[in-house]
Amino acid sequence: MRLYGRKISSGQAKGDVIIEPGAVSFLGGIDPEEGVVVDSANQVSGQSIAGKVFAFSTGKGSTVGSYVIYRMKKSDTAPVAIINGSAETIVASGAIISGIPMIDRIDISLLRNCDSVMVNADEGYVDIPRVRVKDAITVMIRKSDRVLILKRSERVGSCKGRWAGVSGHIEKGDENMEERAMKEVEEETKMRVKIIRSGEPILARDRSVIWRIHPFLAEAKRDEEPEIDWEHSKYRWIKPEEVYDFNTVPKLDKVMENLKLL
Amino acid sequence: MYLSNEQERMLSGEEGEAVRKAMELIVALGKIYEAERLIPVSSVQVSGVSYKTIGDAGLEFIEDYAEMMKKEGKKVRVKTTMNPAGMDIEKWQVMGVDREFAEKQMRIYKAYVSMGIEPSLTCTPYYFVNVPKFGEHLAWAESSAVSYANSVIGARTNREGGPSALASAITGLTAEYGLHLEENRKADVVVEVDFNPDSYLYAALGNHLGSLLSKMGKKVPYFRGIKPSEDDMKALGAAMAATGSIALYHVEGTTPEWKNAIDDDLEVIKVDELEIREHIKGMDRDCEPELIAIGCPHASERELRRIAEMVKGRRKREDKELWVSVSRAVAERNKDAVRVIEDFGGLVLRDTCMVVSPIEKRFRSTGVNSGKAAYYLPKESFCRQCVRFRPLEDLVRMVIA
Repeated sequence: MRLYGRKISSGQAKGDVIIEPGAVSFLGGIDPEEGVVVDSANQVSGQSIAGKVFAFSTGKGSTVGSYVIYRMKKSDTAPVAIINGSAETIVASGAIISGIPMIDRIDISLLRNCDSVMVNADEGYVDIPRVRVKDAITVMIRKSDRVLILKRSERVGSCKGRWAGVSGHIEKGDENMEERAMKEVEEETKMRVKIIRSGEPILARDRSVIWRIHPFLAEAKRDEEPEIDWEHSKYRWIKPEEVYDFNTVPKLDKVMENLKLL
Repeated sequence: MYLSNEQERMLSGEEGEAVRKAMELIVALGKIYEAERLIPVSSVQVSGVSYKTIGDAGLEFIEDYAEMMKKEGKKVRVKTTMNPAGMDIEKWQVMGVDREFAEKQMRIYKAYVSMGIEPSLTCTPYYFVNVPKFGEHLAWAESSAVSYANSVIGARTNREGGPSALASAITGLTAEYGLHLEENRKADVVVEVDFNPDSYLYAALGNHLGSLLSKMGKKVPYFRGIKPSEDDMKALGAAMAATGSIALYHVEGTTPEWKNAIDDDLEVIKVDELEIREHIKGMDRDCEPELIAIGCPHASERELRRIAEMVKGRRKREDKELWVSVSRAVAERNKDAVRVIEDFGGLVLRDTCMVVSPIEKRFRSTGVNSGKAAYYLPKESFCRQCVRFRPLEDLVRMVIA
C-alpha cells in the first residue's frame, strides 16, 4: 500500500513506525541524549524514537525544538524519517536542517506501531509493503432528515457490536460499485432503495488490511423499515449529527462527511 | 509554488549546500503555508543567539552551518542583525556569568559574525541599527521586534524562528504568506479601552490581552480610545507577543495602517482600568526584589535618560542591584546617561537582558515594568524568579538608598 502526502524535507529512509497520535514538543518532550519520548502527555512516553520512522500529528512548543532535532541527528538518536498529519515550522525546520526525510498530509491512523515502511520524501509518499488494500462499500440510507445505522451483531467477523451503515466487500471482478451497493442493501435489510450519490473513498486500517471504503447515499421510501438478519442486532434512524454519540465502526463520521450529511 | 530559474538553481544545490539547505527550508515553509511564490526581503533579524535559550543543540547547529558557509565562501545576502546574547560580551564577569557559559556564548556569537551578521545583539534593532521602512518585506525573528516592525512601522514580517530567519538571511528570500499579504493584515477584533493608560498600564494591558485574544482565536486587534507613545507601543506589543503570539495590531489615529485595517463589522471587546488592575494582582507577586531590571525590550533613549534623571546624584542600596539593558547603539549615543547610572552603582548592560541571561544562578526575585519579562521570568524551566511588576518610578525608588 502506498500513501501519498507532501514532501517537507527531502530524502528516503526505511524503518519501523512508532506512532504518537498527539502533538510533540522536541524541546522538553524528548530526551535528545537517548532519543526517548519523556513528555507524559504523549502516548509513546518512555519509548525510543531513535532509528524509527516517527509518525505524529504535528509539532508544538518552543522553536528551540528545531535545534534539538539537529542535535539528535548528530548523536544518532534521531528518527530516520518523520511523518506528520500536518507539518508546522518547528519540526519542518528541524528536519530540513538535519537532513531527515519528512512528509506530511498523511493520515497517521492508517499506520500501526512496528509497520515496516519506506518513506520517499522526494516523491512525497510512504510505502507499507505488508499491508494490502481491499475495496468495500458503505451505504447510508436516508429517510427525510434521518439516516439508518445498524448495530453489528456478535457473530460477524469484525467490529462486533459497533454501529455502521450497510456495508460489504468488493471481490475482484465484482459488478460495478453502485449495483453492488443496492444489492447489499437488499440482502441485509430487504429494502429497495435508490442510490442518490457517492462520495470520495475513505481509507481505514484493520490489522494488515487498509479498507478503501466507497460511500453511497441512498433514499428509502417513507414507510419502509429494514428487516435485519443475523449480521445485525439492532437498527436506529438517527439525525446525522447524532453519529458522534454512538460507538461506530472507524470513520463512519468521515463517510457521512464525504456524503455531505455532516 | 512558482520558483524563478535562479531560485530553482539555488534549490538544486548549484550554489552549494548552505544555500541549498536554506532554500529547502524557505520552500518547505512556503508549501506548508500555501505561498504562491518567494519574495525578496530587505532585512533579517535572527534569533537563537543566547546560549541560555538554544543550549548545546543550537550551538552545534550554528557552528556547523557557519563552517559550511565558510568552506563554500558564502555570507548572508541581505542586511542581517542579531538578537541579544546571554550576557554583555564585555561585562559578563560583572554580571556573575560563569566562564563555561561565557565561552559557549562567544562561540555562538563568533559563528554568527563569521556569516556576515552584524554584531548588534539587540531585540530593538529598529533603534538605529536596522530600521525598516513602511511597506518593506522583512524576515524577522524576535517576537517583540516583529510586532514593532509590523504595527508601529508598517513593515511586513511573519514571526520567524531561528532557522527560518537564518535561511532568509542566506537566500535573501522569504515565502509570501501570512503578514506579507494585505488581506492578512486586517483587524479581526476591536479593543475599546475606556481609560488613559500610562506606560506601566500599557505593559499590563498587553500581558492581559495577549492571552485573552489568543483564547478567542484573534490575531490582529484594533485599538480604539488610546494615544500611545512609541515606548508605550513597544511595551504593549512585546507583552502581547509574549503571552499570545500577536504579531500585528493597529491603533486608531496612531499606527500607519489603521485607516485600512477594518473591512467588516468586528466583534468589540471593552477593557476598563479595573480589569487591568485586577490582572496586575496576578503579575505582581509579594516579594522583595534582589534585582531591579529595566529594558525588556531594550530601553529606548528616552527610557534610559529618564532613569538617569531619577538616580542622578543618588546612592544605590547595597543589598539590591539595578540593571538597565540597552542596545550598544543606544548606549553609545547616550554616554552621559550611561555614566550617570553607572556612577549611581547601576549596571548598564549591552547585548543582553534579564530574560535571556542566566539570572536564576544569582537572583531569586526581580522587579520589572515589562509585561513580557513578567511573563517569562517566573517560568520554572527558564528563569525561576519571583516577580514584582511595578511602574518604573517605583522600581527605581526601591533601589535608591
